[in-house]
Amino acid sequence: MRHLESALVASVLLGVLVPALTAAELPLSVRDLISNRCADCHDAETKKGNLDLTAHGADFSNAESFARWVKIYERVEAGEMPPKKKARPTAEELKPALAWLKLTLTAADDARLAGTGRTALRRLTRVEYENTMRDLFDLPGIALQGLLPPDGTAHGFDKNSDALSISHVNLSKYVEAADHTLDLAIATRPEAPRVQKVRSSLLCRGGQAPSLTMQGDGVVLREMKPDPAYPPAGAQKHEDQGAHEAMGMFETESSVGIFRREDESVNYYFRGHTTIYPGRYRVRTSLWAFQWDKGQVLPARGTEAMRLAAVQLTADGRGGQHPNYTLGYYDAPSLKPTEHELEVWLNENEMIGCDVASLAPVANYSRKGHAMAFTGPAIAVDWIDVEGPLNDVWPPRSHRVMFGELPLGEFFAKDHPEVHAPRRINLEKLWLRLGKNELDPVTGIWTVHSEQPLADADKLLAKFLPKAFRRPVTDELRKRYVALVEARLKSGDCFESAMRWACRAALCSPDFLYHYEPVAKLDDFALANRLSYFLWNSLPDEQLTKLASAGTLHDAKTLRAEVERMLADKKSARFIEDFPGQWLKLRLIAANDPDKKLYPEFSPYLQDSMVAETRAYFRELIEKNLDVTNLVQSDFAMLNEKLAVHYGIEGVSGPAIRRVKLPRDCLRGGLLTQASVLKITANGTTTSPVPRGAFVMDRILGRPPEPPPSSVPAVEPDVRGTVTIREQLAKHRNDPSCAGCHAKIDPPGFALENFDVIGGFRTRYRSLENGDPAPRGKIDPFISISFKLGPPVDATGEMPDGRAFKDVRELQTQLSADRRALLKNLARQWLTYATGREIAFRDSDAVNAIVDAADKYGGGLRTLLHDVIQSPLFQTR
Amino acid sequence: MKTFLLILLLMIRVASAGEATLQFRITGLFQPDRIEDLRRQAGTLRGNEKDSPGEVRLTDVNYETSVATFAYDPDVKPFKGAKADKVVECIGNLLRGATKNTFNIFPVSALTPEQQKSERIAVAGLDCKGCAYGAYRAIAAIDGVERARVDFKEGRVTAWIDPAKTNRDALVAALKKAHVELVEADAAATNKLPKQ
Repeated sequence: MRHLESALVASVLLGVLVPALTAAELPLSVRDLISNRCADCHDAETKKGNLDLTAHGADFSNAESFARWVKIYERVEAGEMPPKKKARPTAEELKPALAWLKLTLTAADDARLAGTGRTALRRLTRVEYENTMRDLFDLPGIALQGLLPPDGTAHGFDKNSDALSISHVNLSKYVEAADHTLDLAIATRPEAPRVQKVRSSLLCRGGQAPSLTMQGDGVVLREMKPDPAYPPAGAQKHEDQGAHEAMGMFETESSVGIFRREDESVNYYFRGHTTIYPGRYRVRTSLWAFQWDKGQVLPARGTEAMRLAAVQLTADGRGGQHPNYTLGYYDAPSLKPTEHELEVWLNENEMIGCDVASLAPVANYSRKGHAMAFTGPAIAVDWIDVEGPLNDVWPPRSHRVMFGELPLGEFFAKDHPEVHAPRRINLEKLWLRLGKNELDPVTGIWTVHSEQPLADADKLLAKFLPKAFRRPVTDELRKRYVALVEARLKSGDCFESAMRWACRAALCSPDFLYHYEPVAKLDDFALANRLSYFLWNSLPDEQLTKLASAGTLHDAKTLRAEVERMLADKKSARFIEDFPGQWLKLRLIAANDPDKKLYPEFSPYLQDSMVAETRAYFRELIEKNLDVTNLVQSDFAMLNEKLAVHYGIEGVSGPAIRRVKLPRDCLRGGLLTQASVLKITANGTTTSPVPRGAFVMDRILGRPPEPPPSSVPAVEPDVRGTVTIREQLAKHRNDPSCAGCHAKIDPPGFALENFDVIGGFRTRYRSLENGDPAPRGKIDPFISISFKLGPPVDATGEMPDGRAFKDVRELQTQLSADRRALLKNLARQWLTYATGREIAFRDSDAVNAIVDAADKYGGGLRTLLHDVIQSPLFQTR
Repeated sequence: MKTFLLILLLMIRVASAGEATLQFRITGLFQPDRIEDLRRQAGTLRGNEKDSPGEVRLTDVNYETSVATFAYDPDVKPFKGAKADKVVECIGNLLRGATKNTFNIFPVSALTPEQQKSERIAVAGLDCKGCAYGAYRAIAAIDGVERARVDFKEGRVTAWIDPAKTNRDALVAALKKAHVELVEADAAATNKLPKQ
């Protein structure tokens, strides 16, 4: 038998595929281990965990069998099996069995992936596509994601080749997206549209603020006092908005103070500017906060937060509830008008909106006495300026990417009767005409002019194609695109249209849409791409391309320096947003709305702050190269006032996120106690240790639990306050078929029971029926509370290895003790994200080498990031 | 119709060489500062440069009687050769366009002041000029209201009406419909025409 084992090992070493073996044909060392150490529980009779090792052969070409044996190997190797209460196998028993398994599984993995590389061919994700177009054409805010079908996910990320299928729908959408981009990119006028600066008041015609001031949800202020020309709504509201408009009551330079937050029926839009020409715009506004006291303006309770948003007008643009995205949260200090300036990209028919984000949802319209009977916090907007479009060069860079320095000239159809005029978008028709800004029309048709079209096309495409395809382009390939230009010119297109045709074809070609990576070791261009799509989610810039061209990017020092440069670049914000967005599932933050009665203090501002905290925390760990144990335990948090109040931490003012040292007795610190993670792992009504525990196992420790058996129903939440989730789960855990997995999954989740569905700390569950009256605590006095305090929370638990904890702090200490596990998991997550393929069994040694290196130099996140990028796994397809 | 044309012809006077004037009852003058609004918004009215280069000037406005006088050049488009009713229509269009429909013109009232009946109604909750205009336009639209005033500081709406066409109840109903709060007790006590 020893001979057979040796022969098997030899065949593996020689690269011969291991044949399928019956249980009896397994090597003696494996059979001995099974019969002496495993068969008690995993034989045909007991079959614990539905596993009968005495009957299982080893057909490693079968995916299911392969996965089962990988699990067996990993659990035995980690010392989890045989379980602690059983006697440990000796080294002599383990070593040959594990060695054989490792070698055989690796060989099977090699055979499975032979010739394909680790990563299968994969296309750009929606996010990558949009960023690539933005950077290629210098159109930093063009909105393309929404045009494309959503991507799937595999192994936790949408970048995985398994998730990136392509269909005719994708293809038709790529054509649409390319056309939209080219419409914006190509200059169609001799000079840039005139820069217009429009000052608006919130009272601007067509908005909802006028009616809100009429009914007492806002007031008009002059020199920080009620405007005598337009007094606050008192015993009677102001009636007849049309009459007020006709009398010019809303055409005022007075400030507008708002008490009421945005809701389903109220939106605040600055209707003075509706974008005609997509581009960069400078937005300036003046904000301050005050306490309104029945007609008096008094100092505010502190610095309030105003949300500014870009509103994407739909249909005819009237009314509210148009989609919007946050531009930022801005300080409104007490009685101190403060100007904020931001440069933003606005697309057609976008305008600026705002919301008094830090205020509670109050409404005076139906309250007796309206504004004159109200006392409470408010934010004032003095004005807002929108200035643009801002073009520092003309034609814009987007145009030069395609046409270089060729001149623009007027196209006279009569001079070229055989040539079709270029395509033009009628902005006048598209524009909703809701603002005070005006069209700046151009007369005639202006287009790029070439004296020698084919020679110019060849020259221009020689520059454009390598940029778009992110690698050198052969003469043959370039000539195919030049031929497209030639064909279009012959069919009567003008030079611009012919070039546009060729560029559109390039943007819809596999060379653009797919990541091109040679099998085996990446060349410098493929490395530049992988690095760039990892840290910038977009194409390589000039410097990366230059280094790739010089063939020096692979050099360890150069690569290291480039990673540092890329992290310092503002484009790294895409990595900070996208990676935790998928790894920690932050993209699902709005997947459910917390129950309004149970969690009345929840607000969109709190939710945005949660995500901002986790992103800022992740950036802080990388920037400061902090120890990976900070993922689960730390003495600081990244907070703004909203979160600090939510966490019960004092001394933080305003909406800006900053590093805050946590008090000694604080239970916060690390990802697990961040409200974002706690909300994502809850369902909006109740928490359960199961999804939270599974999240910790899978995302933080890298030990994903088995999926739940389909025959077992999910535990239904109980919001009546009679049964705790622990009591409900106890029944479930008593079932032997469930107990094994739940003993591993639930403990971290039990420790997190001290945190509710919005990440607030609790010692008792909130209930809608049974329980004691709840104290208000830090909940805003303008928010009415009706929930009760139900049964007490029990956050104690015991890890599968027998270590007990009494709360999340002790769990954090236990988790942080295993730094290697945290390093290994993050390395695997980064590698999966960056390479588009899950980590295979055969990659284990390479991952361990990364972990060893990072651990040796302090286990910092940036150290680990460098080690990942320098690794063969990263640099090989 | 005949009466209207007669009134129209009477209104038309030649002011100076090449200029004619017209007098109208003007609506929208519900408080004294509206005279300034009228002068600012409608001091000079111009139409489309190409089709109607003619200019219309506000030469006089009498707040007490709500009568305004406009001058125009009858030898310039669109007035040249235009019939009298077309001239009035043109001036009305220009005025409404320039004042967001807050001013309008009608033939001067055929009733003497003595033939008009005044109605004073006490109101509450009119806080600003916008609210005052809302109350005003609710009653100014009633056929038979010759002129009206709203004093939001004093809480008073006053209308001079043609008793043959309308009455106090109609005024009250219109104000109620416009959500203007009436002070009924006060209304009864103060229903007396102020000296003009």
